[in-house]
Amino acid sequence: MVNESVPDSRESIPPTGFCALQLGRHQRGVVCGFSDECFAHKYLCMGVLPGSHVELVRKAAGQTCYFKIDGRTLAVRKEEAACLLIKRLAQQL
Amino acid sequence: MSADQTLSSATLGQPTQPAESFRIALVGNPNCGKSTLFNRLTGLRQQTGNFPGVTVERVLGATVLAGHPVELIDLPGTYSLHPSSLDEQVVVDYLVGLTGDAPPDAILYVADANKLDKHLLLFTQVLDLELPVLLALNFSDELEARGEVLDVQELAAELGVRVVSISARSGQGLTWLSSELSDLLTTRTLPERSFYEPSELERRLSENLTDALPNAAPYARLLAAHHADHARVPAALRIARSVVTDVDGFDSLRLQVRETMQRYDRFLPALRAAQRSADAGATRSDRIDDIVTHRFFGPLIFISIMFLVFTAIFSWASVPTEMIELLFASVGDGIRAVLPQGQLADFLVDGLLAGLGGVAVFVPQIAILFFLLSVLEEVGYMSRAVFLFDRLMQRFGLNGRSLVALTSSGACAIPAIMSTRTISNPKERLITILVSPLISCSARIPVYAILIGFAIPAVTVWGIFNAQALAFMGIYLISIAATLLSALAFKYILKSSERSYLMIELPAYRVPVWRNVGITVWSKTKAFLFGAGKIILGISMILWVLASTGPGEQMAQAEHQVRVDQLSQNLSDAELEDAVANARLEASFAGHIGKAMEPAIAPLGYDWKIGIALVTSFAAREVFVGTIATLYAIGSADDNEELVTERLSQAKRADGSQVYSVATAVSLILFYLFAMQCMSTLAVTKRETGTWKWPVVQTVYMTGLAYFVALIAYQILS
Repeated sequence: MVNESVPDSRESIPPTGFCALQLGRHQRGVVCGFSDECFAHKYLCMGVLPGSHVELVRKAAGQTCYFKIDGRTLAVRKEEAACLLIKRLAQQL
Repeated sequence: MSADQTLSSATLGQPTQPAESFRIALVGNPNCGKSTLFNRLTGLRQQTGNFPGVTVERVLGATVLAGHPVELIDLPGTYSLHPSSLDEQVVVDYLVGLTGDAPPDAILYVADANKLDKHLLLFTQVLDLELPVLLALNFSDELEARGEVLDVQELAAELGVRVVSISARSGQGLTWLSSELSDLLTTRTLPERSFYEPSELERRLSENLTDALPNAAPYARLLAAHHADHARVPAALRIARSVVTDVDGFDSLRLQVRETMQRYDRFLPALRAAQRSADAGATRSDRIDDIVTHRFFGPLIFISIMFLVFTAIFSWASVPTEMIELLFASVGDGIRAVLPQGQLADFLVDGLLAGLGGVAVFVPQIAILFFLLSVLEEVGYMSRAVFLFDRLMQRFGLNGRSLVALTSSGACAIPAIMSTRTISNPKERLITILVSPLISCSARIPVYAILIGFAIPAVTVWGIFNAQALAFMGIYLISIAATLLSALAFKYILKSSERSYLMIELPAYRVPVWRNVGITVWSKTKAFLFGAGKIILGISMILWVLASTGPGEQMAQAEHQVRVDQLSQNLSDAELEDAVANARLEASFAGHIGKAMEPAIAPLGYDWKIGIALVTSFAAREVFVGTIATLYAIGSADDNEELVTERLSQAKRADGSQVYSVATAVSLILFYLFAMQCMSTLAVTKRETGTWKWPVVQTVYMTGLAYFVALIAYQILS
C-alpha cells in the first residue's frame, strides 16, 4: 500500500487518522485521507472527499462494510474500507 | 448485431418528410433516475442494440420535440469520465467520439437533486466536452417534500447552463424540460463555464492528439490520452500518447486525482450558493436495511425471496401456459379439419404450429421472471444482496456483482453474461461469464417439467410440500453448487494481477416505477420471442423435414415391410399405424443421425430419438420439447391434443421396456443441467471475451461434466 495522503492538494488535513474498518457500529468520523492511491480515486469519483462525514452502519460476513457517507449509502470491501482514513468528530473526542 | 445494423436501426422514428433530426445523449450517475426519464420520454419506441465491438447495451429511443424527430440515447450510468469498468469506458468512448458515432447534438444531464454535491462531478466533466448541455434535477419532488429549497435560477447562473427541476417518476416538469431542450437544440448554446484548469502537461498531451481527433474538444482529447489503452482507437492515438508518456513520465492516475479534486473545489462553492444539503436522520430506508442487510436475517430473506420467485413462476405461469397449449391444439385441429390429409397439413400442424407453440409456451414464465427480477432491481434490493454476498462470492473467485448476473441467469444466460460488464476485475468477470450458463435458465424449465413428471410422483411430502416442486428446488440447488464449484476451479486455474473492487452504492428503497417494470418485461419477452423464437421455429421446421424425408426409397421400403409383416401379426389399426410411423422415422434422415449417435449415448440410457433431441438442443435447449413433440407426434397414432408428457410415457424401446424410465429421466435432467447447449450463449461469450477460446472452454468443460454426471447417475439408478 502507498503510505501517503491523497490528494496532495489537501495538505491542510493531515492523514493521521485511523482506518475506517476500526469504527464500531453506528460510530461516526470524518474522512481525512486515503492510504491507497488507486482506491482513493474511486472514492473521490463517488463523492467521498476529505471532510466527508462517515458512519459505519453495519458489517456483513467477511467485514464487507456498509457506510453512510454524507447521507449516501455505500457498500465497500474490507480492503477498501481499510484504505479510508478517519478522524473522530470533535464532539466525540 | 453488427455495428452497421445498429447504426441503421438508429434511424427509428424518422418521418417521411425530411425534417431535421437531432440526437440527444442522456448522461448521469448510477441511480439518478435516468432510465425512468428515458422511458417517460420515449415510451415503447425503444430499440436495444450494442455499441460496436462490445456487448454493452445501447438503448435508443425516439421522441418528437417541437416538430423535430429526436433520437435519445441512454448511456450507462457512470460516476466519472475516468472509467473503472467496461460500462463506463463505453460512455467515454462515445462522448469523446472514439466509437465512430457522430457526436450528440446535445447532452441531457440527469442529476439527483438530493445528492447534487456528488452528482455534479461528472457534470463538470461533461461541460468541458463543449457540447450544448441541459441539466435536469430529478427527484425534485422529494426535495420539496423535505422542505428544502433549491434556487434553480441561481444554480443555472452559477453553473452556466440551463437547469430544469423535474420528477421523472411523477412526470412533473417534463413540459418545461421539453421546451428547454428544443430551445437548446435551436440555439445550440454552449456551456459558459468550466470548472477545471488543465496543467501545462495536460495541455501538451491534448495538443499532441489534435491530428488524431481533429473535431474533439481539448478535454475530450485529454480523456483519450488517459484512456486510449482501453479503448478501441486507431493505433495513431496510442503512438501519440506514448510520445508524451516517454518524455514527461506521465502519471495518469495522479493527474486524474488532481483533476477530480480541482473540480470539487470549484463546483461545490457554486452549488452551496444555490442549495444546502441537509443531514438527514434515520430514514425509512435505514429502518428497512436494519432487517434486510442483517447478518442473519439478510441471507434468510434473500433465500426466501428466491424461493418465492420460483414458486411464483410455477404457480402463476401454469394457467396461461395451459391456455396457450389449448389454443395451439385447437388451431391444429381446425387446420386438420379444413385441409385434406397429407404432407401440407402435416407440415403446418406438426412442423410449423408445433414449433410456434414451443416458443409461445415459454412466454408466461419468462415474463413473470423478468417482472419479479425487475421489481427487485427497481426497489433497490439487488445491491443489498450484492453487499451481503460479496465476501462469499469472492471465496469462489467471483464478485458480489456476479450475484446479479447469476440471478439473471435463472432467466437466461445471455443478459446475464452481458450484465457482467459492471465487474471491473477481468478475472472475476471472466469466471462469471464462464459459469453463468450452469445456472438453470428458463429454457430448461420445460425440459425439467416434462422429465420430473416421469421421475417423481406428484405426491405431498411432509404435509405441505409437493414432491415435484421439491425436485425442482433440488435441481436448482445442484445447479448453484455446480456453478460455485466450477467458479472455484477456475479461480485456481486462471491467473490475474489486476485489483478487484466492490464499492457499490445502496440506493434508497423506492416504490418501483411500474412503467419501467412494464417496459423491461415487454422488451425482454419480445427479445425472446423474436430472437430465440426464430431459432426454435427454424429448428422445428428443419426437424420436421429431416423426420419426414429419408435417403432414397428407404422410408417407403420400411413402410412396405411393416405392412407385409402385419399380415402375420394381426395388429389393430392403431398399432399398425404406430408401427408404420416408427419404421418410417427410423428410416428417415433424423433416424440415421440418431442411430449414428446411439453407441455414444446408450450408456447414459438414451435411445436414438433422444439422440436427435440432444443434437437439436445444441441450437437452444428449449428445442428439446419441440423436438420430442415433433418426433412423437409422428410416432403416435393420436394427434396434437395429447400433452407431450402422455406421449412420452407411451414410448417403448424395441424390447418393450419404457424409454422414459426414472433412470433415463434423471440422467437426462442431469445432462441438461450441465451441458452447454446454447449457440446464442456461446456467441455472446465470444463477443464479450473477444476470442473463441472461452466459448470452446465453456463447451468442453460443461458438456464433459454433463456426460460423466449423467453416466454415473444412469448406471447407479438402472
